[in-house]
Amino acid sequence: MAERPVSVTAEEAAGMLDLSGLSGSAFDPAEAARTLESWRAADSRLDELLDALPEGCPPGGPVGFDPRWR
Amino acid sequence: MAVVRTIREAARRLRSGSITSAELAAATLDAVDRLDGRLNAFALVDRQGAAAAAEAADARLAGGGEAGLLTGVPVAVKDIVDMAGLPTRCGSAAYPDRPRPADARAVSRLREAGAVIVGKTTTHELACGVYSLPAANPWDTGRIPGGSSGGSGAAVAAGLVPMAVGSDTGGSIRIPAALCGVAGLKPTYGLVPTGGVEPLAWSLDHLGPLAASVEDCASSLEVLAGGGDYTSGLGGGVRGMRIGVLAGPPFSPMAPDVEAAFGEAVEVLAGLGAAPAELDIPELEYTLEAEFALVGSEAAAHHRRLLRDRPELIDPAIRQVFMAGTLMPASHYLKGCQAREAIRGAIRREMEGRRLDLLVSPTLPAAAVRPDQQEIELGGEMESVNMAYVRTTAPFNLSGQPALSVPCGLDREGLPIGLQLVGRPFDEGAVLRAGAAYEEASGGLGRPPPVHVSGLPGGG
Repeated sequence: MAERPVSVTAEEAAGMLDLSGLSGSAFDPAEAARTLESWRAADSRLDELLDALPEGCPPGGPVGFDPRWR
Repeated sequence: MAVVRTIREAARRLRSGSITSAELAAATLDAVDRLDGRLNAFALVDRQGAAAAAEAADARLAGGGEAGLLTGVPVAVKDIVDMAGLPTRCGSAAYPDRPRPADARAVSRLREAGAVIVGKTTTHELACGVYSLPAANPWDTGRIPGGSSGGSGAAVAAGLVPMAVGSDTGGSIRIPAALCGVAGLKPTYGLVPTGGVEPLAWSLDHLGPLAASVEDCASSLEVLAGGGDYTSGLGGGVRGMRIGVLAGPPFSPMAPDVEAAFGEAVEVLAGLGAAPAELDIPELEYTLEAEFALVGSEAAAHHRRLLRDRPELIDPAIRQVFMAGTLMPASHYLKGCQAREAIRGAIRREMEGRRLDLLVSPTLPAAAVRPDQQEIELGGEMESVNMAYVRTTAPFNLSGQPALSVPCGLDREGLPIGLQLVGRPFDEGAVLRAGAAYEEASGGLGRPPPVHVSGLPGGG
Protein backbone atom coordinates (compact mmCIF):
# COMPACT_ATOMS: atom_id res chain seq x y z
CA MET A 1 0.00 0.00 0.00
CA ALA A 2 1.45 3.38 -0.97
CA GLU A 3 2.27 5.77 1.85
CA ARG A 4 0.88 9.29 1.93
CA PRO A 5 3.38 11.89 0.77
CA VAL A 6 5.43 13.41 3.55
CA SER A 7 4.83 17.09 4.07
CA VAL A 8 7.70 19.43 3.16
CA THR A 9 8.13 22.72 5.02
CA ALA A 10 9.60 25.88 3.52
CA GLU A 11 12.46 25.59 5.98
CA GLU A 12 13.25 22.06 4.83
CA ALA A 13 12.99 23.12 1.19
CA ALA A 14 15.39 26.00 1.87
CA GLY A 15 17.89 23.52 3.33
CA MET A 16 17.55 21.22 0.34
CA LEU A 17 18.04 24.10 -2.09
CA ASP A 18 21.11 25.19 -0.19
CA LEU A 19 22.59 21.70 -0.19
CA SER A 20 22.05 21.44 -3.94
CA GLY A 21 23.72 24.76 -4.66
CA LEU A 22 20.49 26.38 -5.84
CA SER A 23 20.30 29.88 -4.46
CA GLY A 24 19.03 33.35 -5.24
CA SER A 25 15.69 34.98 -5.89
CA ALA A 26 14.81 32.41 -8.58
CA PHE A 27 14.21 29.85 -5.80
CA ASP A 28 11.51 30.68 -3.29
CA PRO A 29 11.60 28.08 -0.49
CA ALA A 30 7.82 28.23 0.02
CA GLU A 31 7.22 27.62 -3.68
CA ALA A 32 9.87 24.90 -3.68
CA ALA A 33 8.08 23.21 -0.77
CA ARG A 34 4.79 23.22 -2.69
CA THR A 35 6.49 21.83 -5.79
CA LEU A 36 8.17 19.06 -3.83
CA GLU A 37 4.89 18.22 -2.15
CA SER A 38 3.26 17.59 -5.53
CA TRP A 39 6.26 15.60 -6.77
CA ARG A 40 6.14 13.46 -3.64
CA ALA A 41 2.49 12.76 -4.41
CA ALA A 42 3.65 11.54 -7.83
CA ASP A 43 6.30 9.41 -6.09
CA SER A 44 3.55 7.76 -4.02
CA ARG A 45 1.63 7.07 -7.21
CA LEU A 46 4.68 5.27 -8.59
CA ASP A 47 4.81 3.22 -5.38
CA GLU A 48 1.17 2.32 -5.99
CA LEU A 49 1.97 1.00 -9.48
CA LEU A 50 5.11 -0.87 -8.43
CA ASP A 51 3.52 -2.36 -5.27
CA ALA A 52 0.69 -3.78 -7.34
CA LEU A 53 2.88 -5.69 -9.78
CA PRO A 54 2.20 -9.40 -9.23
CA GLU A 55 5.72 -10.46 -10.20
CA GLY A 56 7.46 -7.69 -8.29
CA CYS A 57 9.27 -4.65 -9.61
CA PRO A 58 11.06 -5.01 -12.94
CA PRO A 59 14.74 -4.01 -12.89
CA GLY A 60 14.00 -0.97 -15.03
CA GLY A 61 17.56 -0.20 -15.95
CA PRO A 62 18.66 2.53 -18.27
CA VAL A 63 18.29 2.18 -22.01
CA GLY A 64 20.68 -0.29 -23.54
CA PHE A 65 22.66 1.92 -25.89
CA ASP A 66 23.49 5.51 -26.63
CA PRO A 67 21.27 6.81 -29.45
CA ARG A 68 23.79 9.53 -30.25
CA TRP A 69 26.18 6.86 -31.44
CA ARG A 70 24.04 5.17 -34.06
CA MET B 1 4.96 31.48 -56.79
CA ALA B 2 6.55 28.04 -57.11
CA VAL B 3 5.19 26.14 -54.15
CA VAL B 4 5.17 22.38 -53.72
CA ARG B 5 2.81 20.50 -51.44
CA THR B 6 4.85 17.34 -50.91
CA ILE B 7 8.33 15.91 -51.28
CA ARG B 8 6.98 13.63 -54.00
CA GLU B 9 5.67 16.61 -56.00
CA ALA B 10 8.92 18.53 -55.54
CA ALA B 11 10.98 15.53 -56.67
CA ARG B 12 8.80 15.06 -59.77
CA ARG B 13 9.01 18.72 -60.78
CA LEU B 14 12.76 18.88 -60.15
CA ARG B 15 13.29 15.86 -62.38
CA SER B 16 10.94 17.02 -65.12
CA GLY B 17 12.82 20.30 -65.30
CA SER B 18 9.70 22.37 -64.62
CA ILE B 19 11.54 23.96 -61.72
CA THR B 20 15.08 24.07 -60.41
CA SER B 21 16.11 23.67 -56.80
CA ALA B 22 17.43 27.23 -56.84
CA GLU B 23 14.02 28.51 -57.94
CA LEU B 24 12.29 26.37 -55.34
CA ALA B 25 14.57 27.62 -52.57
CA ALA B 26 14.06 31.23 -53.65
CA ALA B 27 10.28 30.75 -53.71
CA THR B 28 10.38 29.14 -50.27
CA LEU B 29 12.42 31.98 -48.80
CA ASP B 30 10.07 34.50 -50.40
CA ALA B 31 7.06 32.68 -48.88
CA VAL B 32 8.76 32.66 -45.47
CA ASP B 33 9.32 36.43 -45.82
CA ARG B 34 5.66 36.96 -46.62
CA LEU B 35 4.01 34.58 -44.15
CA ASP B 36 6.30 34.09 -41.22
CA GLY B 37 5.53 37.48 -39.72
CA ARG B 38 2.17 35.94 -38.82
CA LEU B 39 3.43 32.48 -37.87
CA ASN B 40 6.88 32.89 -36.31
CA ALA B 41 7.55 29.31 -37.39
CA PHE B 42 11.21 30.08 -38.06
CA ALA B 43 13.74 31.01 -35.39
CA LEU B 44 16.42 31.47 -38.04
CA VAL B 45 16.48 31.53 -41.85
CA ASP B 46 19.68 30.39 -43.60
CA ARG B 47 19.50 32.16 -46.97
CA GLN B 48 23.14 31.67 -47.86
CA GLY B 49 23.21 28.00 -46.86
CA ALA B 50 19.96 27.31 -48.70
CA ALA B 51 21.19 28.98 -51.89
CA ALA B 52 24.45 27.01 -51.83
CA ALA B 53 22.68 23.70 -51.14
CA ALA B 54 20.16 24.37 -53.91
CA GLU B 55 22.93 25.11 -56.40
CA ALA B 56 24.68 21.87 -55.46
CA ALA B 57 21.40 19.95 -55.76
CA ASP B 58 20.77 21.37 -59.24
CA ALA B 59 24.24 20.23 -60.30
CA ARG B 60 23.58 16.79 -58.85
CA LEU B 61 20.23 16.47 -60.60
CA ALA B 62 21.67 17.72 -63.90
CA GLY B 63 24.63 15.36 -63.63
CA GLY B 64 22.36 12.33 -63.70
CA GLY B 65 24.12 10.79 -60.74
CA GLU B 66 22.51 9.32 -57.68
CA ALA B 67 19.81 11.62 -56.34
CA GLY B 68 17.24 10.61 -53.77
CA LEU B 69 13.75 11.99 -53.30
CA LEU B 70 14.96 14.74 -50.98
CA THR B 71 17.58 16.07 -53.40
CA GLY B 72 16.86 19.75 -54.02
CA VAL B 73 13.83 19.81 -51.69
CA PRO B 74 13.52 22.61 -49.11
CA VAL B 75 13.25 21.38 -45.52
CA ALA B 76 13.76 22.81 -42.01
CA VAL B 77 15.03 21.56 -38.65
CA LYS B 78 13.98 22.37 -35.10
CA ASP B 79 16.23 24.86 -33.33
CA ILE B 80 17.60 22.30 -30.89
CA VAL B 81 19.39 20.49 -33.74
CA ASP B 82 22.91 21.67 -34.54
CA MET B 83 23.85 23.05 -37.95
CA ALA B 84 27.51 23.88 -38.41
CA GLY B 85 28.15 27.62 -38.45
CA LEU B 86 24.76 28.55 -36.99
CA PRO B 87 23.67 29.00 -33.37
CA THR B 88 21.35 26.55 -31.63
CA ARG B 89 19.21 28.74 -29.38
CA CYS B 90 16.69 26.19 -28.07
CA GLY B 91 14.08 28.93 -27.68
CA SER B 92 16.00 30.07 -24.61
CA ALA B 93 17.52 33.36 -23.52
CA ALA B 94 20.25 31.30 -21.88
CA TYR B 95 21.69 30.00 -25.14
CA PRO B 96 24.32 32.13 -26.83
CA ASP B 97 24.45 33.15 -30.47
CA ARG B 98 27.77 31.32 -30.80
CA PRO B 99 27.82 29.16 -33.95
CA ARG B 100 27.90 25.41 -33.39
CA PRO B 101 31.03 23.69 -34.72
CA ALA B 102 29.43 20.72 -36.47
CA ASP B 103 26.22 19.36 -37.95
CA ALA B 104 24.04 17.00 -35.96
CA ARG B 105 24.11 13.50 -37.44
CA ALA B 106 20.56 13.92 -38.75
CA VAL B 107 21.55 17.17 -40.46
CA SER B 108 24.56 15.48 -42.08
CA ARG B 109 22.24 12.84 -43.45
CA LEU B 110 19.85 15.44 -44.84
CA ARG B 111 22.76 17.25 -46.49
CA GLU B 112 24.20 14.02 -47.91
CA ALA B 113 20.75 13.31 -49.39
CA GLY B 114 20.83 16.71 -51.09
CA ALA B 115 18.09 18.35 -49.00
CA VAL B 116 18.07 22.15 -48.89
CA ILE B 117 17.81 23.24 -45.26
CA VAL B 118 16.22 26.70 -45.34
CA GLY B 119 16.29 27.37 -41.60
CA LYS B 120 15.65 26.40 -38.03
CA THR B 121 12.16 26.26 -36.57
CA THR B 122 10.79 27.67 -33.35
CA THR B 123 10.79 25.41 -30.31
CA HIS B 124 9.18 25.70 -26.92
CA GLU B 125 11.91 26.82 -24.50
CA LEU B 126 14.44 24.00 -23.99
CA ALA B 127 11.99 21.63 -25.79
CA CYS B 128 10.09 21.44 -22.50
CA GLY B 129 6.49 22.51 -23.15
CA VAL B 130 3.61 22.45 -25.62
CA TYR B 131 3.06 26.14 -26.52
CA SER B 132 6.12 27.06 -28.68
CA LEU B 133 5.42 30.79 -28.46
CA PRO B 134 5.73 33.07 -30.34
CA ALA B 135 4.89 30.52 -33.08
CA ALA B 136 1.24 30.46 -34.14
CA ASN B 137 -1.09 27.90 -35.67
CA PRO B 138 -1.82 28.39 -39.41
CA TRP B 139 -5.44 27.23 -38.83
CA ASP B 140 -6.01 30.10 -36.41
CA THR B 141 -3.17 32.42 -35.53
CA GLY B 142 -4.86 33.03 -32.18
CA ARG B 143 -4.11 29.41 -31.25
CA ILE B 144 -0.90 27.64 -30.34
CA PRO B 145 0.78 25.29 -32.83
CA GLY B 146 1.57 22.80 -30.05
CA GLY B 147 5.01 21.79 -29.00
CA SER B 148 7.64 21.58 -28.40
CA SER B 149 8.27 21.27 -32.18
CA GLY B 150 5.63 23.96 -32.83
CA GLY B 151 7.56 25.85 -35.49
CA SER B 152 8.07 22.64 -37.47
CA GLY B 153 4.33 21.92 -37.35
CA ALA B 154 3.39 25.45 -38.37
CA ALA B 155 5.96 25.61 -41.20
CA VAL B 156 4.72 22.36 -42.74
CA ALA B 157 1.02 23.16 -42.23
CA ALA B 158 1.45 26.54 -43.94
CA GLY B 159 3.12 24.85 -46.92
CA LEU B 160 6.44 26.65 -46.37
CA VAL B 161 8.34 23.35 -46.44
CA PRO B 162 7.05 19.81 -47.06
CA MET B 163 9.07 18.42 -44.14
CA ALA B 164 10.62 19.74 -40.95
CA VAL B 165 12.53 17.74 -38.37
CA GLY B 166 11.19 17.72 -34.81
CA SER B 167 12.03 16.04 -31.54
CA ASP B 168 9.72 14.13 -29.21
CA THR B 169 10.32 13.43 -25.50
CA GLY B 170 6.70 13.26 -24.35
CA GLY B 171 4.84 13.96 -27.61
CA SER B 172 6.66 16.95 -29.10
CA ILE B 173 6.41 15.73 -32.71
CA ARG B 174 2.90 14.30 -32.50
CA ILE B 175 1.36 17.19 -30.53
CA PRO B 176 2.15 19.91 -33.12
CA ALA B 177 1.41 17.46 -35.95
CA ALA B 178 -2.09 16.90 -34.54
CA LEU B 179 -2.77 20.56 -33.71
CA CYS B 180 -1.47 21.84 -37.07
CA GLY B 181 -3.09 19.13 -39.22
CA VAL B 182 0.04 17.46 -40.62
CA ALA B 183 1.63 14.02 -40.35
CA GLY B 184 4.27 13.47 -37.67
CA LEU B 185 6.29 10.36 -36.91
CA LYS B 186 8.13 9.55 -33.71
CA PRO B 187 10.22 6.57 -34.80
CA THR B 188 11.34 3.76 -32.50
CA TYR B 189 13.73 4.96 -29.80
CA GLY B 190 17.26 5.11 -31.22
CA LEU B 191 16.30 4.62 -34.88
CA VAL B 192 17.23 8.23 -35.72
CA PRO B 193 20.46 9.36 -34.03
CA THR B 194 20.24 12.21 -31.54
CA GLY B 195 23.91 13.19 -31.73
CA GLY B 196 24.21 16.97 -32.04
CA VAL B 197 20.71 17.51 -30.66
CA GLU B 198 20.22 19.38 -27.38
CA PRO B 199 18.74 16.80 -24.98
CA LEU B 200 15.72 17.24 -22.76
CA ALA B 201 15.70 13.71 -21.29
CA TRP B 202 18.12 11.46 -23.12
CA SER B 203 16.37 8.18 -22.37
CA LEU B 204 13.11 9.50 -23.85
CA ASP B 205 14.31 11.83 -26.63
CA HIS B 206 13.45 10.86 -30.21
CA LEU B 207 14.03 12.67 -33.51
CA GLY B 208 11.68 12.41 -36.49
CA PRO B 209 9.83 14.17 -39.32
CA LEU B 210 6.73 16.34 -39.42
CA ALA B 211 5.54 16.31 -43.02
CA ALA B 212 2.78 17.14 -45.44
CA SER B 213 1.88 13.48 -45.93
CA VAL B 214 2.54 10.03 -44.51
CA GLU B 215 4.57 9.23 -47.62
CA ASP B 216 6.76 12.27 -46.92
CA CYS B 217 7.30 11.01 -43.37
CA ALA B 218 8.37 7.66 -44.82
CA SER B 219 10.79 9.06 -47.38
CA SER B 220 12.25 11.43 -44.78
CA LEU B 221 12.71 8.56 -42.34
CA GLU B 222 14.75 6.67 -44.93
CA VAL B 223 17.22 9.56 -44.90
CA LEU B 224 17.12 10.37 -41.18
CA ALA B 225 17.55 6.72 -40.17
CA GLY B 226 20.45 6.31 -42.57
CA GLY B 227 18.75 3.61 -44.62
CA GLY B 228 15.87 1.17 -44.62
CA ASP B 229 12.93 0.89 -46.96
CA TYR B 230 9.88 2.61 -45.52
CA THR B 231 8.22 3.64 -48.78
CA SER B 232 7.80 0.61 -51.03
CA GLY B 233 5.22 -1.05 -48.74
CA LEU B 234 3.08 2.04 -48.27
CA GLY B 235 0.34 0.87 -50.61
CA GLY B 236 -0.14 -2.42 -48.78
CA GLY B 237 -3.27 -1.36 -46.91
CA VAL B 238 -4.59 -2.58 -43.54
CA ARG B 239 -6.62 -5.64 -44.53
CA GLY B 240 -6.26 -8.25 -41.82
CA MET B 241 -4.42 -5.96 -39.41
CA ARG B 242 -5.42 -6.46 -35.78
CA ILE B 243 -5.78 -3.11 -34.06
CA GLY B 244 -6.14 -2.35 -30.35
CA VAL B 245 -8.37 0.68 -29.82
CA LEU B 246 -7.05 2.31 -26.65
CA ALA B 247 -9.71 3.20 -24.09
CA GLY B 248 -9.77 4.18 -20.43
CA PRO B 249 -7.24 6.49 -18.72
CA PRO B 250 -5.08 8.16 -19.99
CA PHE B 251 -7.13 8.03 -23.21
CA SER B 252 -10.20 9.44 -21.50
CA PRO B 253 -11.70 11.91 -21.08
CA MET B 254 -11.69 13.41 -24.57
CA ALA B 255 -13.40 16.46 -26.07
CA PRO B 256 -16.66 15.35 -27.75
CA ASP B 257 -15.51 16.39 -31.24
CA VAL B 258 -12.28 14.41 -30.78
CA GLU B 259 -14.22 11.37 -29.62
CA ALA B 260 -16.54 11.59 -32.67
CA ALA B 261 -13.67 12.06 -35.15
CA PHE B 262 -11.75 9.18 -33.60
CA GLY B 263 -14.81 6.90 -33.76
CA GLU B 264 -15.18 7.69 -37.46
CA ALA B 265 -11.47 7.04 -38.05
CA VAL B 266 -11.74 3.60 -36.46
CA GLU B 267 -14.74 2.90 -38.72
CA VAL B 268 -12.66 3.93 -41.75
CA LEU B 269 -9.90 1.52 -40.72
CA ALA B 270 -12.48 -1.25 -40.19
CA GLY B 271 -13.97 -0.45 -43.59
CA LEU B 272 -10.54 -0.96 -45.11
CA GLY B 273 -10.38 -4.47 -43.68
CA ALA B 274 -8.68 -3.98 -40.32
CA ALA B 275 -10.00 -5.71 -37.20
CA PRO B 276 -10.31 -3.21 -34.34
CA ALA B 277 -11.02 -4.25 -30.75
CA GLU B 278 -11.20 -2.10 -27.62
CA LEU B 279 -8.24 -2.31 -25.26
CA ASP B 280 -7.66 -0.90 -21.76
CA ILE B 281 -4.14 -1.15 -20.30
CA PRO B 282 -4.45 -0.11 -16.63
CA GLU B 283 -0.71 0.48 -16.14
CA LEU B 284 -0.86 3.39 -18.60
CA GLU B 285 -2.73 5.38 -15.98
CA TYR B 286 0.67 6.02 -14.37
CA THR B 287 2.18 7.49 -17.53
CA LEU B 288 2.59 11.08 -16.35
CA GLU B 289 4.21 10.14 -13.06
CA ALA B 290 6.73 7.88 -14.81
CA GLU B 291 7.38 10.39 -17.60
CA PHE B 292 8.08 13.31 -15.28
CA ALA B 293 10.21 11.27 -12.87
CA LEU B 294 12.52 10.64 -15.83
CA VAL B 295 12.26 14.05 -17.51
CA GLY B 296 12.75 15.96 -14.25
CA SER B 297 15.86 14.06 -13.21
CA GLU B 298 17.53 13.81 -16.62
CA ALA B 299 16.79 17.43 -17.58
CA ALA B 300 18.02 18.62 -14.18
CA ALA B 301 21.25 16.69 -14.67
CA HIS B 302 21.76 18.01 -18.21
CA HIS B 303 20.92 21.64 -17.34
CA ARG B 304 22.67 21.62 -13.94
CA ARG B 305 25.00 24.53 -14.71
CA LEU B 306 22.25 26.67 -16.17
CA LEU B 307 20.00 25.91 -13.17
CA ARG B 308 22.76 26.71 -10.70
CA ASP B 309 24.37 29.75 -12.38
CA ARG B 310 21.61 31.50 -14.36
CA PRO B 311 18.24 30.17 -13.12
CA GLU B 312 16.53 33.51 -13.78
CA LEU B 313 16.93 32.86 -17.53
CA ILE B 314 14.70 29.75 -17.38
CA ASP B 315 10.92 30.05 -17.59
CA PRO B 316 9.59 29.61 -14.01
CA ALA B 317 7.42 26.58 -14.87
CA ILE B 318 10.36 24.79 -16.52
CA ARG B 319 12.66 25.83 -13.70
CA GLN B 320 10.31 24.13 -11.22
CA VAL B 321 10.56 20.86 -13.14
CA PHE B 322 14.37 21.05 -13.17
CA MET B 323 14.49 22.07 -9.51
CA ALA B 324 12.26 19.19 -8.47
CA GLY B 325 14.44 16.87 -10.55
CA THR B 326 17.44 18.10 -8.59
CA LEU B 327 15.88 17.83 -5.14
CA MET B 328 13.88 14.60 -5.43
CA PRO B 329 15.81 11.56 -4.20
CA ALA B 330 17.50 9.16 -6.63
CA SER B 331 14.89 6.57 -5.67
CA HIS B 332 12.27 8.68 -7.47
CA TYR B 333 14.20 8.49 -10.73
CA LEU B 334 14.74 4.76 -10.30
CA LYS B 335 11.06 4.20 -9.61
CA GLY B 336 10.43 6.08 -12.85
CA CYS B 337 12.75 3.61 -14.61
CA GLN B 338 10.89 0.69 -13.06
CA ALA B 339 7.52 2.19 -13.95
CA ARG B 340 8.72 2.62 -17.54
CA GLU B 341 9.61 -1.06 -17.62
CA ALA B 342 6.22 -1.98 -16.13
CA ILE B 343 4.40 0.15 -18.72
CA ARG B 344 6.51 -1.20 -21.57
CA GLY B 345 5.88 -4.74 -20.33
CA ALA B 346 2.13 -4.18 -20.07
CA ILE B 347 1.92 -2.89 -23.64
CA ARG B 348 3.98 -5.82 -24.88
CA ARG B 349 1.83 -8.29 -22.92
CA GLU B 350 -1.34 -6.93 -24.53
CA MET B 351 0.07 -6.64 -28.06
CA GLU B 352 1.60 -10.11 -28.02
CA GLY B 353 -1.27 -11.74 -26.12
CA ARG B 354 -3.89 -10.38 -28.50
CA ARG B 355 -1.58 -10.59 -31.53
CA LEU B 356 -2.06 -6.90 -32.28
CA ASP B 357 -0.28 -5.19 -35.16
CA LEU B 358 -1.16 -1.67 -34.06
CA LEU B 359 -2.65 0.43 -31.31
CA VAL B 360 -4.75 3.50 -32.12
CA SER B 361 -5.99 6.45 -30.08
CA PRO B 362 -6.77 10.09 -30.62
CA THR B 363 -3.35 11.80 -30.68
CA LEU B 364 -4.63 14.41 -28.22
CA PRO B 365 -7.79 14.85 -26.13
CA ALA B 366 -8.50 18.31 -27.57
CA ALA B 367 -7.65 20.69 -30.43
CA ALA B 368 -5.40 23.76 -30.16
CA VAL B 369 -5.90 26.14 -27.23
CA ARG B 370 -5.18 29.87 -27.02
CA PRO B 371 -1.71 31.02 -25.95
CA ASP B 372 -2.95 32.33 -22.59
CA GLN B 373 -5.02 29.22 -21.79
CA GLN B 374 -3.44 27.12 -19.04
CA GLU B 375 -6.35 24.75 -18.35
CA ILE B 376 -8.95 22.95 -20.42
CA GLU B 377 -12.26 21.39 -19.44
CA LEU B 378 -12.48 17.72 -20.32
CA GLY B 379 -15.10 15.33 -18.98
CA GLY B 380 -16.45 18.05 -16.68
CA GLU B 381 -13.06 18.58 -14.96
CA MET B 382 -10.42 21.26 -15.45
CA GLU B 383 -7.08 19.84 -16.55
CA SER B 384 -3.68 21.45 -17.17
CA VAL B 385 -3.13 21.90 -20.91
CA ASN B 386 0.46 20.63 -20.55
CA MET B 387 -0.71 17.39 -18.92
CA ALA B 388 -3.73 16.94 -21.21
CA TYR B 389 -1.60 17.13 -24.35
CA VAL B 390 1.08 14.78 -23.02
CA ARG B 391 -0.96 12.04 -21.38
CA THR B 392 -1.93 10.33 -24.65
CA THR B 393 1.44 10.60 -26.35
CA ALA B 394 3.97 9.97 -23.56
CA PRO B 395 3.12 6.27 -23.08
CA PHE B 396 5.01 5.61 -26.30
CA ASN B 397 8.04 7.64 -25.31
CA LEU B 398 8.22 5.38 -22.28
CA SER B 399 7.77 2.24 -24.39
CA GLY B 400 9.96 3.55 -27.23
CA GLN B 401 7.48 2.29 -29.86
CA PRO B 402 7.00 4.03 -33.23
CA ALA B 403 3.98 6.37 -33.18
CA LEU B 404 2.48 8.38 -36.01
CA SER B 405 -0.08 11.19 -35.93
CA VAL B 406 -2.21 11.77 -39.02
CA PRO B 407 -4.98 14.34 -39.44
CA CYS B 408 -8.47 12.89 -38.86
CA GLY B 409 -10.81 15.83 -39.17
CA LEU B 410 -11.63 19.32 -37.97
CA ASP B 411 -13.55 20.20 -34.82
CA ARG B 412 -16.55 22.55 -34.76
CA GLU B 413 -14.18 25.54 -34.66
CA GLY B 414 -12.31 24.36 -37.74
CA LEU B 415 -9.24 23.16 -35.82
CA PRO B 416 -7.42 19.92 -36.71
CA ILE B 417 -7.72 16.65 -34.77
CA GLY B 418 -5.12 13.87 -34.93
CA LEU B 419 -5.25 10.09 -35.04
CA GLN B 420 -2.34 8.27 -33.36
CA LEU B 421 -1.14 4.91 -34.73
CA VAL B 422 1.39 2.95 -32.69
CA GLY B 423 3.36 -0.10 -33.82
CA ARG B 424 5.69 -2.71 -32.43
CA PRO B 425 9.31 -1.61 -31.93
CA PHE B 426 11.04 -1.06 -35.30
CA ASP B 427 7.79 -1.82 -37.16
CA GLU B 428 7.57 1.65 -38.68
CA GLY B 429 6.47 -0.12 -41.86
CA ALA B 430 3.12 -1.16 -40.38
CA VAL B 431 2.51 2.23 -38.80
CA LEU B 432 3.23 4.10 -42.03
CA ARG B 433 1.25 1.63 -44.16
CA ALA B 434 -1.82 2.04 -41.97
CA GLY B 435 -1.35 5.81 -41.83
CA ALA B 436 -1.11 6.01 -45.62
CA ALA B 437 -4.21 3.83 -46.07
CA TYR B 438 -6.20 5.97 -43.63
CA GLU B 439 -4.94 9.21 -45.18
CA GLU B 440 -6.01 8.09 -48.65
CA ALA B 441 -9.39 6.76 -47.55
CA SER B 442 -10.25 9.80 -45.43
CA GLY B 443 -9.07 12.32 -48.00
CA GLY B 444 -7.16 14.36 -45.43
CA LEU B 445 -8.56 17.63 -44.12
CA GLY B 446 -9.95 18.66 -47.51
CA ARG B 447 -8.57 22.19 -47.53
CA PRO B 448 -5.41 24.06 -46.53
CA PRO B 449 -5.37 26.27 -43.44
CA PRO B 450 -6.21 29.98 -43.76
CA VAL B 451 -2.51 30.90 -43.53
CA HIS B 452 -0.94 28.94 -46.38
CA VAL B 453 1.37 29.57 -49.31
CA SER B 454 -1.45 28.70 -51.71
CA GLY B 455 -3.16 31.90 -50.59
CA LEU B 456 -0.26 34.06 -51.72
CA PRO B 457 -0.48 35.73 -55.17
CA GLY B 458 0.31 33.07 -57.76
CA GLY B 459 0.51 30.43 -55.06
CA GLY B 460 -2.34 28.21 -56.23
